[in-house]
Amino acid sequence: MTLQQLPALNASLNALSGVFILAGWVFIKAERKLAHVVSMSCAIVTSAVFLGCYVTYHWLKHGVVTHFAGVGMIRPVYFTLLISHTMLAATVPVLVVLTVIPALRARYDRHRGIARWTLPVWLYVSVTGVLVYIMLYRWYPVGGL
Amino acid sequence: MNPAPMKKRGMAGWYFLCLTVAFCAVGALWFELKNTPPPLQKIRQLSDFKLTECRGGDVHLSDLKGKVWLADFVYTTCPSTCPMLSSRLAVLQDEAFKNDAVRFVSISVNPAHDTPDVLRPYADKYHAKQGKWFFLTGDKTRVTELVSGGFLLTMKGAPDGSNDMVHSTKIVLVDKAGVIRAYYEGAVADETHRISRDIRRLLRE
Repeated sequence: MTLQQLPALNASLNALSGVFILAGWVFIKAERKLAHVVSMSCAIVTSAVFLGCYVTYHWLKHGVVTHFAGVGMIRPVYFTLLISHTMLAATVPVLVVLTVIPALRARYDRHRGIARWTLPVWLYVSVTGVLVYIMLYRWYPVGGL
Repeated sequence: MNPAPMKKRGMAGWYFLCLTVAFCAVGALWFELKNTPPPLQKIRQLSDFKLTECRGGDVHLSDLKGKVWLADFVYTTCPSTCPMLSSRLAVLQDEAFKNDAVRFVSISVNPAHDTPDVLRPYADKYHAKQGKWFFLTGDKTRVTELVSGGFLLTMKGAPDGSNDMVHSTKIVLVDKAGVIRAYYEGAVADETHRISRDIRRLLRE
């Protein structure tokens, strides 16, 4: 695994997280509680692995940022996604912990109360993580200027 | 329990999300409008030229029609500025290696000394790809005509008659029609990022 391949891995982990979160949401709406717990647990694992890889990648790059090569109005679109993703991603670990603890204590009313904030944010962060990757690394690959 | 309030409360997270994204969108749009680069003016049309590439063959202006290209002015016995300029062009060559519409042209401002055989090792040092990054030399009159007459830049021998040249450290951006569109100061600041952006803008023309 080279440094250049890490963004693709991170995007895959994001995508996988998104699938697990969505599945977990669908399952609880169908009142399939065990499936919900399994999906959400998988989502937490993939998100945690993602976070580790993401931090590693940026640490290895020593703060060198990849510039977005788009020109014109696609720039505000990209930066809207990037900034909102980054800001909201910072809140996800806190929200997830606050959501899981009541569930572990069987305080499901409280669990639901916080989950209604966590779900949209966590899902958005996963989806936009993939979008940012595609726009930054796929639309403008290295060497294409 | 009345289902309506439950549903409304369940939407709170989504409303918060939309609000956050809208806020970021406004900020991003404002920032972009504030930082939109000025249009690249058509500064000057270059006339046809014919110079010798150090690896063999001639290069005419017509060979560069349809390409967006950068020009810089170097000489092989240059103490420090030319290596820096050539390194900058090498970085840009790497960024554009897959893009066939981009070219790089380095012109020797000491063509009497920098014959093709002398220029070639200099070009090789910066991994100038044949057919992509041209290193040009030739008859002094013709080179002067292009550098001074075409690009409107300085090119003269040092007062003490040594092989140190007085030359411009500018990097010039030329569009697909051979029109000069921008000059960048190669010696002072690293404008590589701005240069790539402007090349991309011209590629879309």
